[in-house]
Amino acid sequence: MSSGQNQDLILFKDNSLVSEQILNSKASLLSLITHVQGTSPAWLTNSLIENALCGTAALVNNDLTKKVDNRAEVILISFLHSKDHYIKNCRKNGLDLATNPSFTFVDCFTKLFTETIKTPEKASSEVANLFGNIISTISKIENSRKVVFVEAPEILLQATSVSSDELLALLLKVNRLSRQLFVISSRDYNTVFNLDSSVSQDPVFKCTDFLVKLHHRSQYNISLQPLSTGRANDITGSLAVSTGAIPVDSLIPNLYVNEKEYIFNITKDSNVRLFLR
Amino acid sequence: MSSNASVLLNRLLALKEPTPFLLVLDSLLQSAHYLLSEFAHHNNSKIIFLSYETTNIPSYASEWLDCSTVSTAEISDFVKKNSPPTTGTLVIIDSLNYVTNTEITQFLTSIIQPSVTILGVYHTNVPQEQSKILNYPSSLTLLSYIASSIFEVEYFPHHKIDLETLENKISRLEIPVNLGLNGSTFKLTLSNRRKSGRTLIYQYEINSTTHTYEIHKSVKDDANPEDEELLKDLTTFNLSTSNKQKLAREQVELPYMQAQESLGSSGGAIVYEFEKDDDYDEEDPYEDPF
Repeated sequence: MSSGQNQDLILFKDNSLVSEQILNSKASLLSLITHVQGTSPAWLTNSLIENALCGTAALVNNDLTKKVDNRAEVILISFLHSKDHYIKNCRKNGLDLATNPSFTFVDCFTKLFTETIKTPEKASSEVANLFGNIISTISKIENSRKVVFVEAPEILLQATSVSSDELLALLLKVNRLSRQLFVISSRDYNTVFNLDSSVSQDPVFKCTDFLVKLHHRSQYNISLQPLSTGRANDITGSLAVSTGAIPVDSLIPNLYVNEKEYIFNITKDSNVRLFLR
Repeated sequence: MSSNASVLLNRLLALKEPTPFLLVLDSLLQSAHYLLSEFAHHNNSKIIFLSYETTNIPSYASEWLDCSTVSTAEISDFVKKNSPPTTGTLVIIDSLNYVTNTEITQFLTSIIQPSVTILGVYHTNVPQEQSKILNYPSSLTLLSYIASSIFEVEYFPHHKIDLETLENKISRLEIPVNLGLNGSTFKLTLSNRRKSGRTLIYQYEINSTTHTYEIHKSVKDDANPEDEELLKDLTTFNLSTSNKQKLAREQVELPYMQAQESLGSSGGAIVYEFEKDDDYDEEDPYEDPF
């Protein structure tokens, strides 16, 4: 496999990742990045942040070389990592997120259960306040070219009393304020996702309901999973770019998702190698 | 038969049939997006869009309400205020999965009016909550019972694929690529309930790009071709049967046919023939075997 030629990752048929047509449009797109244990999408998130901020994607696409300063505003809302995590990891992409004026980080991780949500058993109003703050942060940014990432919002479903419909309504508001929203979520079978679950208080039921309903809103999805044939030394997993329930061209004419399945390998020095499947 | 089917579909899409509630069932494999566009394409009437999950307002919506944060009473008032009593109005609900199981009937009856046709979308892959009330029917059962017509959109496979493998992948949320999922060509199963109580069921292949509808013909399974085909060119012996031999085989009278003929004269009654060891007492009423 190592002798094969690397492929460039593209999401749309205009050979782009975060397409210029999306940033210029008036539509609000939703895309899901779902993963299972062992195939973390951190490298993909970093590359998408890089592409949104300056137009390049050094690790995954060799054709996108033209650097554009302040291409779009990136707002990253994370329930799983702190800002330092992203500052450190994006250095490899040639980004200094600590000083980048177009990058806004909303930390929903560090003090989530100590200050933000003190009563997880009755969390509806606290979660609504949390999203109220997020929405006002996004609204204050004047540039309309906004790309928003929400990482691991399913933690709220698993750890608090908030319902999937409440969280979906809040995410809808965030989505409408942005040109492109990426929701990054895990979808591990049985621990997060199971279509046969039926007890409404069960976190698996809430997460399944949340993910299926999000899939019915999305324009395109990226899913990562390990190889179904088992572990391999030179392959980390596979990545599939698929169309969602709402076609992109119904919102932005002549923009089509490039449906492809790749296999990827993360090397020891954190480089990414992609091959078409 | 086929012309009836296409006339019925066209009349339903143009809201010319008296149907107060149309239910659209979709799945992760094929969304209802293109079917809703077909309704919009055929209609000049006012379209009220009640949205729980649509991010971008569709161009065909005359009125729009974000229902994710408002009460049922406010939704009902909005529909009443915006639907003229004389002309027909189409109310699209996207989607009914957001209304709780116990409130769903009340929700629909609060919107239904003589001049309004409701088009409700229901996602069948969304897990169904177990009702707190014992034996209370699921939302899907209730909606299917109330609906005057059910449009079930299904994925139309362009290549020969194993649907079981596909369902298995979907159950783990692994969406396969390049199979034409959520495509503009899809299969539609329409169940239309007539006033007489009769249900008409038709299947179509819908191409929403060209707005053409064809009757779906189920593809015959080629896995079991006729035995004759299998025997052909297998050996140097002649294992096949000629037409003359087939005819002769069909004309052979089998023994049970003859047995039926002699009994057939009694017209379907059970005939009991006594044998020599039978002990039958005519005076005992309980001994009558029949």
